Amino acid sequence: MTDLEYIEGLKKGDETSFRNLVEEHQLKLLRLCNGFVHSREDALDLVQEVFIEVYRSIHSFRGDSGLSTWLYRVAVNKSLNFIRKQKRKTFSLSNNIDNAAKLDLRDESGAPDVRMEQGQRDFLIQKALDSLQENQRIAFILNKYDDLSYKEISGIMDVSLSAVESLIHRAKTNLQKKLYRFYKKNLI
Amino acid sequence: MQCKEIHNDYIGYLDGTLDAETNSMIEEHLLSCNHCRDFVERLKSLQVTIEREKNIQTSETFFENIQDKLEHLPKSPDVKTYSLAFRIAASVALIMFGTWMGLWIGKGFHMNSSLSNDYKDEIYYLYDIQQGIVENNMLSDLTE
Repeated sequence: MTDLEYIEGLKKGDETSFRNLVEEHQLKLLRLCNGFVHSREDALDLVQEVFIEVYRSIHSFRGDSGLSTWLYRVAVNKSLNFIRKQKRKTFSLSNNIDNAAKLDLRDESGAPDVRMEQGQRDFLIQKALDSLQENQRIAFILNKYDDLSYKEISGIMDVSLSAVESLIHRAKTNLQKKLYRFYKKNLI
Repeated sequence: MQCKEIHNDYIGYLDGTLDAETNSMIEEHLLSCNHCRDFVERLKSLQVTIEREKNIQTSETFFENIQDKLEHLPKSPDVKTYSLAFRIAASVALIMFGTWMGLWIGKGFHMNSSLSNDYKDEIYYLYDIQQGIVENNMLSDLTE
């Protein structure tokens, strides 16, 4: 189905159009949200909210961008809002990393050669990713989790192609620096 | 021994997005540097983590859950209602503004009576001229 057909269908409240839209986009939006929140259950809830918002506000969709671009934008915003709310609820991200590092430094002192299990390694990598500057993180996740091209990312983030290149390059450099610190502490 | 010249692009090297020149420069360095080689090996866990997170599946009842949530959500005021309410408010505001402007201008005329009289004189003067022209035309028609 084309964007126009989806939009017309949704405006009429056609269930088949809505079902097709969900089936076509659910997995890539799920990967995206999971890249931000690192939890299947939370990612599923977020993607459902994305589709609900799109369904309810289809009348105000002006069509300046493609439907897919709009879906991605809503998903990114919902994910970032979710993270902000979570941050308010729990302790800060920097404390999280520090605590993890302290915890593992204690392990290191007890048994220097012990490497973290993959689950713990995942946790540190996710936290390193979460601590990237917001725009770098968005560009990196869109590129790595959804395999989107720089052009597609520039459309979603509404920035130039060169800005996307720069954001992704800086994201990789900063991520490497953070991971190198963990490596030096024998954490990854 | 730790390396003093750690390249910034090891993640790019691993995901294959570097240009050929940078790529071969890194490969050359890795051949002679145990520290960086080991770090690059460890960096591969980044890709493993991302691949694991990407490998996520939706639930079988995903669409039904959305429908269920939609049914239980409080109905949002629709766009048409907003639009009508906005139009009514804008009309009332416009009428009030127009009334206020009218009163303000009228007040200005009353306060400046000389301007008001001049204005009246001007009207009579124009009226006289027009009347004169019309009378002259009528007289000329009769005499012809």
